[in-house]
Amino acid sequence: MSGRAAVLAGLGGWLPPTRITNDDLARQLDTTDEWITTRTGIRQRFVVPPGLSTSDVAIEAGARALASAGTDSVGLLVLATSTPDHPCPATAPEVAGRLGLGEIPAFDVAAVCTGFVYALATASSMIRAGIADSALVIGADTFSTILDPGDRTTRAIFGDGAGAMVLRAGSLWERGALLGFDLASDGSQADLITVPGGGSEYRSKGLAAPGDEFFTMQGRSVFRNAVTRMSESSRRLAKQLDWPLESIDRLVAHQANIRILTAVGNELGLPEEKLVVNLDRVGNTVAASIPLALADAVHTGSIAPGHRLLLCGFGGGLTWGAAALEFPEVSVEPLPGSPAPAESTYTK
Amino acid sequence: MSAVQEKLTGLLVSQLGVPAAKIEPGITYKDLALDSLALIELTMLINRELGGALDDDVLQGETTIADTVELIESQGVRA
Repeated sequence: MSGRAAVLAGLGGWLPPTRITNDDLARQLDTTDEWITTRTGIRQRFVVPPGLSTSDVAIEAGARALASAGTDSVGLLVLATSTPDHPCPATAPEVAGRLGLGEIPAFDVAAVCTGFVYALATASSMIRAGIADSALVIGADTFSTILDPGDRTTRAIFGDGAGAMVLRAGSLWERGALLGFDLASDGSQADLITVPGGGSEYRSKGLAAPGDEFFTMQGRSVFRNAVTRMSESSRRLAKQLDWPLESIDRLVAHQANIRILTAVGNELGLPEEKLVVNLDRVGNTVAASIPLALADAVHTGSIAPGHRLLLCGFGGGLTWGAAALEFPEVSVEPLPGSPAPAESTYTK
Repeated sequence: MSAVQEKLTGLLVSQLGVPAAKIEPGITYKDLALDSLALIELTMLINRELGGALDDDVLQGETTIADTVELIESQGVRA
């Protein structure tokens, strides 16, 4: 195998301006700050104001990742999202166009909360294969647009946002190279995390019930699968790379629920300080979650150059996966719309 | 106290923060203030640490400690 690899060159994230605290939710729904905090670890989330959609948040994060990499051009754009602006066409070409990236290949990848890991694997593979020399990989979702306004559970969990990475062609032996991936899916459990309506199946079969346009999730089974799948995937990838689990400096896992993160840490025998946590301030931002958590941890200094990182995700599909790299020298702007990282309950 | 109940008590105390003094055979998970996610965490712990094979939805708020011990032992687990 050649030593050509995709190397992390830039990182950025963006949160929309409307902040919703647990107390704000408690004023609209039958819930309390304590109920949400103890069950999820989430204290606030950001949502798009009327008029903004996934392309808008994707562009903001993409522009920041390009600035972080010190470039204004890339050869490929892959957008991970499950809340595209339209069912057709994909949102990525519009994002590429509005970012002024020209007529580059651009497409969406849909793997819900695992979307960023899948998109990263796709872009990395295209760079290694020589199809592109650089790429912008964005994870962006606006789940606030598909939640049932009366559902206290999902509204407490999900927030909107976008995170992005710039990759460039380089060598497997340089710091920042994407060293390996582990990807998987299980379609027999597709109904655990779903928006039942709005797709071809429902239109073709004439199915339609009130509320079918909203996102639903079966909490218990999702919890168990999230813990076992992210642990499995991380363990498999570490083994493939010959990385003893204790040599991992930081685990950047999908930010779904603090109790899932803690349980994954326990499964892998990783102490709390190795778990990157920012969900207390942003909630579950779906495809944006991993790059946003990474950007936050770099900004606070929790992740430093040379750190061995495992990124792992789990989401609807079911899908899950992991990616590995040694963190390079990359500067990150603080996330707009978010308070200083030092205010995070879980910042280490 | 059976070996299974002893281990179950150990998991509740060390992993889920339940006060040891509150645990008795007839008490329900609801009375121990364990919510649905805590019950799935407990299910996973039982399956991993005691070699049980409990399904995700077996433990409910009304389930007692004695019920749980019986369920685990009915699967041939003697801890």
